[in-house]
Parts: sequence; C-alpha cells; structure tokens
Amino acid sequence: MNFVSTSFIAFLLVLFLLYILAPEKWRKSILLFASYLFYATWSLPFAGVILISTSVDYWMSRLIANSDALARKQFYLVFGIVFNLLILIFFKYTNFFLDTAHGLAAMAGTSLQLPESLNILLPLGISFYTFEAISYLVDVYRGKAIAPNWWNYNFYIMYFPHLISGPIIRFAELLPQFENRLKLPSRKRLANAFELILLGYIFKVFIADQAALIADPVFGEPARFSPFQTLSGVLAFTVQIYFDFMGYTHIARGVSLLFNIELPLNFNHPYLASNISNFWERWHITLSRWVRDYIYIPLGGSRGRATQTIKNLMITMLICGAWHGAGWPFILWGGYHGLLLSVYHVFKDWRKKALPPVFLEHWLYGAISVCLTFVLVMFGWVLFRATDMTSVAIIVKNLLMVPDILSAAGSILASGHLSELATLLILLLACFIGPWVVPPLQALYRPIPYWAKVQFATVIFLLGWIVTSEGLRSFIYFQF
Amino acid sequence: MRSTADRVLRLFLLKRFFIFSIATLITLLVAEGAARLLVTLAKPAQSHSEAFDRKHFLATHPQSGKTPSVLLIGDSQMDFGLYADKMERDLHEAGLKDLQVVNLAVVGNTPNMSLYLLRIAVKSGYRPALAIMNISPWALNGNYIHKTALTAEGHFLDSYLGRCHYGAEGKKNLDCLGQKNFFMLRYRDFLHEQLSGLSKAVTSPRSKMGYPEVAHVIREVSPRGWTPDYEVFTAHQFEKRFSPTAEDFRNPKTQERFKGFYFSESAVQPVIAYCREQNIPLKLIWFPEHPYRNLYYDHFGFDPELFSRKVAAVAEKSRIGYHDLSNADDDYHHYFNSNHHNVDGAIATTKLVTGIVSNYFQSLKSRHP
Repeated sequence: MNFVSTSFIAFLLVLFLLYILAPEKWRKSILLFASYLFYATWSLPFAGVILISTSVDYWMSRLIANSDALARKQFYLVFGIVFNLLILIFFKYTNFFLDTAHGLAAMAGTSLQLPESLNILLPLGISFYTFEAISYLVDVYRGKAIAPNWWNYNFYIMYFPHLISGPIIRFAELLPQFENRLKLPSRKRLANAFELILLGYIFKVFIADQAALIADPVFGEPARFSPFQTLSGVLAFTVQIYFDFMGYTHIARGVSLLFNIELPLNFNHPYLASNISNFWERWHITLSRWVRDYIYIPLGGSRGRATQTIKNLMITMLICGAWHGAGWPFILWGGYHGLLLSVYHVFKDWRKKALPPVFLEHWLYGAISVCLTFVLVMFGWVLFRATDMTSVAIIVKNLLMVPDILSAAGSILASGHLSELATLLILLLACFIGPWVVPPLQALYRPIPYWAKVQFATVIFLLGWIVTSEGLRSFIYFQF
Repeated sequence: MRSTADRVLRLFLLKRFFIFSIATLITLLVAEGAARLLVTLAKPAQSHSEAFDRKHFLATHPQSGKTPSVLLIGDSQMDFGLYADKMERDLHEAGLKDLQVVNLAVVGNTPNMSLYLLRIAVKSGYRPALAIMNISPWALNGNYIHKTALTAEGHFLDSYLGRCHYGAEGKKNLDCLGQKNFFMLRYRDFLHEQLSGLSKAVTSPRSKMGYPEVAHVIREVSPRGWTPDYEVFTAHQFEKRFSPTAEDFRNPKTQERFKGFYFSESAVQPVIAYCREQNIPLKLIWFPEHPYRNLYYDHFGFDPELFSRKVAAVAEKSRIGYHDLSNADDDYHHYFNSNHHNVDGAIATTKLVTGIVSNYFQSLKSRHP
C-alpha cells in the first residue's frame, strides 16, 4: 500500500477508529496485526521472512544479554549481524555480484558457469529493518535496553509507519513510547499529525511527482537533451528526491502520531547546508546517525591522523552508497560523498589556520558555501539516479557545458518564451525557500476551524487523486 | 483518574472522527456536483476519445441499411488517408452504384478496437460487402501488442463505450459500480486534462492566445467518415519534427513500437475470424508510406519486405486479400509525417484503393453475372 493511495487512506481511517475504540491493552496488538496486514498486502511470504529474522534477532539479543563471558557475547553479536547481513545480501546483492562476476570474466576473456541472474524480489524495507536489527543487537551488546519480550521487539521492527522507508529509529528511543500500554493521542498531537500528513501528501504528489515528469525523460534518454534541458532535469531530480523522501517521512511521522508514537525528524532543510558535513547532518538524519554510530566511530572516527580519518570516511560512505542500491552508480555516489567529506575534513583544518574569522563569518562566504554545497550535492544525484555509467558520462558532460547552458538561457530570454527558465527558477526556489514559506502558510492554516481544515485536506486529496489519474508513483526510497 | 482521562480523550477523538467523516462527505458531494457540472458544460468524449465517438456514431447510424457497404477499418493511416466519400463517388462512376463506403478507422486504433466498431456496425444494420483493414507494422509487433493492450486498449475498454469490462473480482466490481455512478470516477482522466489545461493556460498563456509552439491541428470529419489531418506548421517546425535527419528515431513512441520487433499475427486473427464467421470478405492493406521511412526502419532493424511476406502468408492461409502499397507513393508532398497522408496523399491513395475495390467487385460480377 502506497502511503498516498486511497487504499492506504481507507486502511488508516479504519485502523484509527479501531485504535480509538479498543481498550488500552489491545491497542499494541491491533497495531502489530495491522502492521503485518500492511506488509502482507505487498507480500505475505516476505512478512514471514521478517517474522523469522525478528525472532532470531530477539533470541540472539537474549543470548548476548544473558552471557557473562565477553567472547560469547561477541560470538552471538557477530552471529546476529552476519545472519541479518546474509539475508540482506542474498535478496539485495546476489544479482549485482553475479552481474559483476560475469562482467569481470568477460573482461578477462573467459565465461563463468553461473546464471546471468536469479529471479529474486527485494523485500520491501529490508535495508531499513536490517539496519534497525543490527543497531538493536549492537546496543544490547553495549549494555543498552533489551526488549522485555518478543512481542515488543517485533513491534519495534514491524510498526508500519517506519517499516518501509524509516526513519531508522533505535530500539531504546522507541521502547519508552510503547513499552507500557499505548495511550490515545492528545489534541495537539492529533493536530500535528493531520498537518504532517497533509504536508507530506502535498510534497509527494504536487512537488516530487511533478518534478519527476521533468527528470525522468532526461535520465531515461540523456542523449536526447541539450545541456540546458539536462540541467533542468538534474535540478528536477534534486527537487524530486528531496520532496519525495521528505513527503514520505512527514506522512510516516504524522501517521505515527495518530497512534501516539513520535518518530524522529529525518530532514532539516538539507539544501541550505553550508558544507558537505553539514549536509549529512540535515539529510536523512537517522541514516547519518546510524552510519556514524555503527560504522564510522567503530572504525576510529576522526580520532587518528588525517589519512586514517579519510580512510574511515571513505569506507563509511562507500557502505552508505551500497546500502542505497546494488549497483556501481550507488557505490560511486557513496564514494563521491566520501571524497567530498574527506576534502572538507582537510579544508576545515586548513581554513581555521589560513582564513581570518571576519572572512569566515561574512554573509557572502556563507552564501557561496551554501551554493557550492548545493551544486556538489546536485552533481552527486546524477550518480544516484542514472541507470548506467554511460548515462552518467553524458549527463556530466552536458552539465559541464556551462557556456552552452548560458547561451541557451540567453536565447530563451531573447525569444520571450520564458516557461523553460521559469521552470528552472521554480525548481531552484523549491530547494531553498522552505523555511520562509512553510511557517507563514502554517500561520494561515492553523487558526482555521477543524471542519474547514478537513474540507481543505479533502480538496487537496481530490486534486492529488485527479493529478495521479495515470497512476501513482512509488516513493523513491521504497526500492531500498 | 487515568481511565477517566482516556474516556474524555476518546470522546473527543470520536467527535473529531465524526466531524471528519461528515466534512469529508460534504466535500466529496460538492466535488461530485462540480464534476457533473463541468462534464455537462465541457462535453467530454463518451468513449476514450472524441475521434472514437465520431466513428461510433457513424457505425451505429447506417444511412441506408439496405445498401451493401464497403467498411474501412483500421488506424490513423486509414482514418486520415482514405477519402471514403470520393471512393464512393468513383465506384458509382465505375458502375458500382449500389455501394456505400464508410470509413470507420480511428487514430490510435488497435485491431481489437477496429473489430469492436465493425461488430457494432454489423449489429446496427450495415451490410458489409467488403471490409478493408489497414495493417500497420506496430500492430503486429509481438513485443508491442501487450503494451498497447495496457495503454490504448486499456483506455478504450475502460471507457464508457467499452462499459465495465472487468471480471468478477470483488474490487473490480466495486470499481465498476463507482465508475457507473460517480462522475468523479468515470471522468477522472477528463478532469485531469482540464486541470492540466488550466495550469497551461496560466503558465503558457501565449499558446492559448494563438501562438502555438507546435503544430496546430484542425479536425473535421466528412459525411462518410474521412478525417483529414490538417497540421499547420511553420517551415522551422516542420523541419524540426519531420526532417529525414532522424527526428523520428528519437521519438519514444516510434522507438517503443519497433523495439525488439517480432512478427505476431495474433492481433489480427480475431478480425479475420469474425469476418469469416459473418461471411464478410476482408482485405488487408499496408498503406503507402513516406519515402524516408526506410531510414528509420533500417535504424530499428525492421525488414519491411520480410514483414510484407509474412502478412501475405497470413492472408493466403486465411484466404483473404492483401495489398502491399507501402512503396506505392514516393511523393513526399503527399505526407505530413513519415507515415501519414495529407489531403493530396489521401486523394492519391483513395484512387489506388478504389482501383482495388473496383477490380474486386468487377471480378465478382464477371464470376456471378
């Protein structure tokens, strides 16, 4: 069930009504059952896969917690992590490995007695719940909260608002909210939930999906497009991925608030980041925290020499790239960000010594930093979205043809047909103006009576329903 | 205490839920009313397209049920390219005075959609003495047929004329019920078009004020169903869209139509079977195509001669006529794009096809004087 589909809205309304009417002691069970139902509408067998993996994880966590000897604890931890990773690798990376092996064999002039690919479907949300399971096992090993029973651990993984695409939440963060009986949401939480769901729907259907109409053709067949059109397409994807994922997270957080469970923030105006490190503090925050706490810091973080830090950054970001998708463009994307972070790490130290504070605090320096970071991130999205390396080469080549882009913009200005330029401008604005536009709109919206808010939301939903008459687009992060 | 607080909150939430339901219902009713008003004012197509509506009207209103007719079915090549009224006049002049010619071809039709109109025409009282269907290569591309079934035929089958074609599954029946009773559901695509049109009127007002960025199309239909396509281009627009310098290669629609081409006769078999069942003589025609067509056929690795031989084999096997006219008109002044005739081309092709039809009936006469 897609979060913006009518079937999901119907599911949510029925579930919410049941949740209100049910006695406190039944609410958690109802939500857990609904979560399995939600997942089973996509695939019943894969709901079984989660059931088995959560049971093994829970069992491992008990063994870790109950073992006195460190070696045993470590053994169970490693077993648990390997078990989760094997499931992830099997479903997500088998075909990638086969493809790579065949490619290498072809380069070496031999052929392998292996199938070209296996007919494997990727279980929805597997990357997300695998990371959550690993974080839980590591936290238990580190002596943090352990699930009091299987039921609670299963609820932590399966809870449907965060099951498919996060936010990646830690067990210790979620447990206090559902360990005891689940309460009904307060008036304030209900209002927040309603607002988040509505905003998320608008972000997804009216911004992300409309930007996709510009981005898809460019990435589908890049050779057909001029440098100016390529720039529009890449910018459109920059908008699409942000609003698509933020729309999803808003809806997930809003839906969760209806059941009185607060999920963490995942975005904080990432395109306003002043450097690449700052970008990762604002983009997919829960994933950034996860890779920091469970990969980067265990590797040594920034404690050693600069070369050691750079190595750690590169490893962390390559894993982060591979986590997103089984393909070289994703791994390259991770490597690209690792490289940017490494360069920034070196630059940061140099900057402190070489540049005066007056210069660093000047607004112009800040503005240039934001623009530069944005351009670098946008280049990164080419690797993320392109289907193969040939497309990457064509798109990057087009983007680097700055004089052509400028002359095309000049011709458009001279011809008076401004729609292409206007599109580019709107896309750019969409990336940056959030903090200045959303609060005033909220100030206008909040005093409206409840019934009028409902009617407004219904009109928005109907418009979205009409706009998506040719079919709903899945959320981008659903594929991970 | 706790349980009292919970009860108060529960009552509050139930009240909110009730208000939510009522407010939503009222909004949906108002929206349904607005949709009905818009549909009444804007008169959308009853089927999936206005072009299909026109031909459906023609199929259901035979001018003379007694007169044997030559029914022309197929897609845009036939729709734009065969001047049925002229053909009827020419046949009369050739002594075949008791024939009427009706062009029931529709742009974008698949063979199944053509068959639908043929059935309707027969049911409505036409007495076809001959049916002629044009064959476009894409309609026999096995790699493309199922995609067409998902798009063009899907729209067609979902349309009002196709009625609710769904099977007996619960959800689909619910869909049918909704489509039959609510304009919001039935005219969702139309409402989408209107919304898009509204946004374009705001963002590109110049095109709405008569400065089209692309071709300007004037649509009309002759009494016998010929729908010439008058596309008005500036020289630059024409060069940009229809020059022989591979513009068509890049057209995603063309690409999709010829991608992984393999010959599949299954699309045309239902038409052949129906005509055999109804004793309607059937002829297949591959319409004349622009001399530049070989450029993109080569590009897509499509072999027109092999294709033609395969269609001929199907025709021979089914004992129906087949005429390959694809190379019959090399005058590029007769086309407005790579495979569609303009008015001059339509008149030239009409002469060719009239000759074939005339010969057919003359030979019948000579066999059964």
